[in-house]
Amino acid sequence: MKGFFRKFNFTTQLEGQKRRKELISANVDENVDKFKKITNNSADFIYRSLKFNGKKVVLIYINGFVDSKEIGENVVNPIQKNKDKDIKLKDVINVGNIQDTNDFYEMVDEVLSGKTAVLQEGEKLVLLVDCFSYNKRSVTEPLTELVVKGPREAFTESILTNVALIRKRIKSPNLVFENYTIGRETRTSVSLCYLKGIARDSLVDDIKNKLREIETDSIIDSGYIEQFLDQNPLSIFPTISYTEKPDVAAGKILEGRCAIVVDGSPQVLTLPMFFIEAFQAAEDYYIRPLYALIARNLRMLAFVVSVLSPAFYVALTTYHQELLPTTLLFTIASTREGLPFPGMFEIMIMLVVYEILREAGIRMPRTIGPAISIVGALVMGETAVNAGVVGPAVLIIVAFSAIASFVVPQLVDTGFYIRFLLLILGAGLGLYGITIGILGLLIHLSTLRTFGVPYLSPIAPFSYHNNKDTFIRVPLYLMKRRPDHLAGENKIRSGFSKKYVKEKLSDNNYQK
Amino acid sequence: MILIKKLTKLLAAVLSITLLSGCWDQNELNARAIVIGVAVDRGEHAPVKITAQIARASAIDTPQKGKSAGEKSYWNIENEGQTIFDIIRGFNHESSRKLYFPHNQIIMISKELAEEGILQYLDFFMRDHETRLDVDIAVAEGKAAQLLDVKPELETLPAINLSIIINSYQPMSHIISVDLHEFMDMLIGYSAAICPIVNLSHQSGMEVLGVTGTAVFIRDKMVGYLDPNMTRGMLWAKNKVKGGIVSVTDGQGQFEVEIKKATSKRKLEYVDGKLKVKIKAKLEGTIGSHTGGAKIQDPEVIKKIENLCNQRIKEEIVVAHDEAKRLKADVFDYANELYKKSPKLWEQIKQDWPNIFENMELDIDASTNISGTGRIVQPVIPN
Repeated sequence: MKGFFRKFNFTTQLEGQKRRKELISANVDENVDKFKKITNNSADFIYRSLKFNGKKVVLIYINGFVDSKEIGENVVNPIQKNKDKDIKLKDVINVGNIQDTNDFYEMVDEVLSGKTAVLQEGEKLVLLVDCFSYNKRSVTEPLTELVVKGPREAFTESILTNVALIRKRIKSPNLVFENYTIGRETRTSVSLCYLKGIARDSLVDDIKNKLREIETDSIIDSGYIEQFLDQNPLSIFPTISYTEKPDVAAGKILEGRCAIVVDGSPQVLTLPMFFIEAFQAAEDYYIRPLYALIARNLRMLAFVVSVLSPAFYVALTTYHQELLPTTLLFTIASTREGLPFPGMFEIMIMLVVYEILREAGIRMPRTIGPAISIVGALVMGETAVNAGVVGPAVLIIVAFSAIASFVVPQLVDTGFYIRFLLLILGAGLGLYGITIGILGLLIHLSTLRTFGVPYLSPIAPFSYHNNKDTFIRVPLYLMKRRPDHLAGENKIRSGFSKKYVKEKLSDNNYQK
Repeated sequence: MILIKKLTKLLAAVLSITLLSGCWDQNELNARAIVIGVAVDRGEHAPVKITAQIARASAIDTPQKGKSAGEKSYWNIENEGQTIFDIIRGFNHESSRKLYFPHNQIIMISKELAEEGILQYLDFFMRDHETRLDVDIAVAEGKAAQLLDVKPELETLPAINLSIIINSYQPMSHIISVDLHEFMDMLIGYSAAICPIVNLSHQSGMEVLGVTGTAVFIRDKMVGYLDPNMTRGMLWAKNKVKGGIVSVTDGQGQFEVEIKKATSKRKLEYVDGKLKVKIKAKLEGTIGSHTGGAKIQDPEVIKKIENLCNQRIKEEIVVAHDEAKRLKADVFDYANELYKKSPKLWEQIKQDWPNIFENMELDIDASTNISGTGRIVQPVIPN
């Protein structure tokens, strides 16, 4: 029996390819018995027997997946009170979404994902009624990607809500959602979303194939899908992005990317991801371009500072003291006086301590948060310096590096690797080592590809036209075409003429 | 197999990156003794004595630690020996930490040694990889070591104090600063080398450091010096006056003209075995103070002050030339300029140069433009 089940599940999950088909019997009790056998008599199924025109009718649904009030009013009540002998069962039920099937396994699948099956004596078709209702979290503000200016809706754990949130922003008929059921046991709904014509066909096909190839028992979060789709699992750089905000997902879809919505996950994957994407915040497009430019370059600077400052500190104080201004050298030297550990070891300790504090900060229950903060900030920092275990300069470097790393949240883990890599190189070989490390990273970055496109594009390979949203975010009316490295045949973004742009940017604009 | 090949390549790359590089000088900061000043004197038992000033990081007051009272913020370490390198290596027996030279601010050589030739003392600092060429060079009147022991009132470290004093020559243009690199250039060239002279004097019980003039070298031997006035004359001739005050008097009161902008152009001509130098000095200044009651708003008075300034500038330049001629030392870079203009000509006159320099003709043209009088025009109680 077990073997049978494995086979059954496996075949159904390959969407419509080798689906095993078994017809529904005209005998209701036979069907119900078969259903109970397949579901191992699980307690959360509800079997409700009714009479319709003297014939037996059985409803099968999962307790908790179905709105009991709705099923009572719109399904059970009309069936029981019906007196018209000529009317069909389908026409009695007051629910919008009703399908029918003669496939027994399709019925099982649909019941498992929340529909109500209506079996009727003497009928070889089963009605699948959608009374789905699940106690879900409502749409709230995002917890991670916060904005001052811009929409505040966030995805929830429900795929229905998430799909609707995207559709709400792109009402084009070209917006396509393709559903997959992935996971032998979890049978998770996964929805691939793209704009036909704007997303490149080859990219969409590639992702479709990859989704079909996934052979696993469970998909619990979009992170699972991310790992199955990741083509550079050994790289320290992420090549698949994720977002909690529907507006961000819509923006990425409009640039020619695909989005993958996974049931049960409030993070929607967008792919492919380029290096520059980590520095593009949603707000960049909602605020005025000049400040977007400043903010974005500040983010890049913060990332560089965050990964380089510990390595630089160690390299300068242990190899290149001559590079420090004399007064600064005295300041650092006087704080280093009498410290027991070498500079490299000292900064390493503090970085590890910081990582532990961060991990604790994420994991701990909220009620004990303040206690950890006090221990972390006061005991570890202040006291470590006063006790002469670490120098204050090290503390400044580590703290600044830590704060700066959060400016680019998508690269926090990448920054962690780079920071330690450069720190070790800087401590072993000085600035020479740091240079080698940076060169190595650049070589790696430029060999990296995400779904066939260079990871560093559009910076390398460079083209002026594609660089309107990298270091400088040009005004939206100047972004006339979608980036070449992403878009399919539909490349036109805005159709403003040169005259419009010229007038827009001229001084006497206000007179009109 | 492919993996092994790849790994071998990687190993080769990593080994060549690490082993073929030149940076193996890892050293913690608290294992280094940071030298900030060096004084070279004649030793009591050996030809040379070096005093090196080492900053004591533990005693330097930082905002975090506050001032540590009583503790000296520096340590003057002394050693005698045959040569500079010999002595500096010897320091390692006395100091628990290795001496670290890149932050050295000043090298002072006593006048006594400078008069015998200073190249032998500077060679180490020019040659060694750890020392820097931007260190200041100075000649000390008397013992150089004692200058490193004058506790400055505002700065923490004597050597840094000295370096700041020497480098702040702009306000008056009365002194110069020369770093090792410039000094090397001057020694290599055909003109005379110069560097500042520092002196320790006692005024009302206080030790006062000061720069008293400019030492003049022929080859590497000090032959004499220019006083502050002559130094400015020299700077006028070299177009290096940056600021300062020209003070003139009209018999009733003193006018101090502050230099706002000073430029000079010079032209060298060698005709019939005679060197003719034309210097055109231009001064733009404002009246900084006046002690009399002159009616300054009168253009005639301004004109008079301007003329007096012109005269004063001329005097300064002439005095500098007179002294240079007396010392037979071309501190004005004339020789270098002639060489650059025509190396062939220089080859011919090289032998006769001291003579030519001594008999050179000087033609000075100074012009002054007083462009302002400060907040007031004439004194509040005019005559």
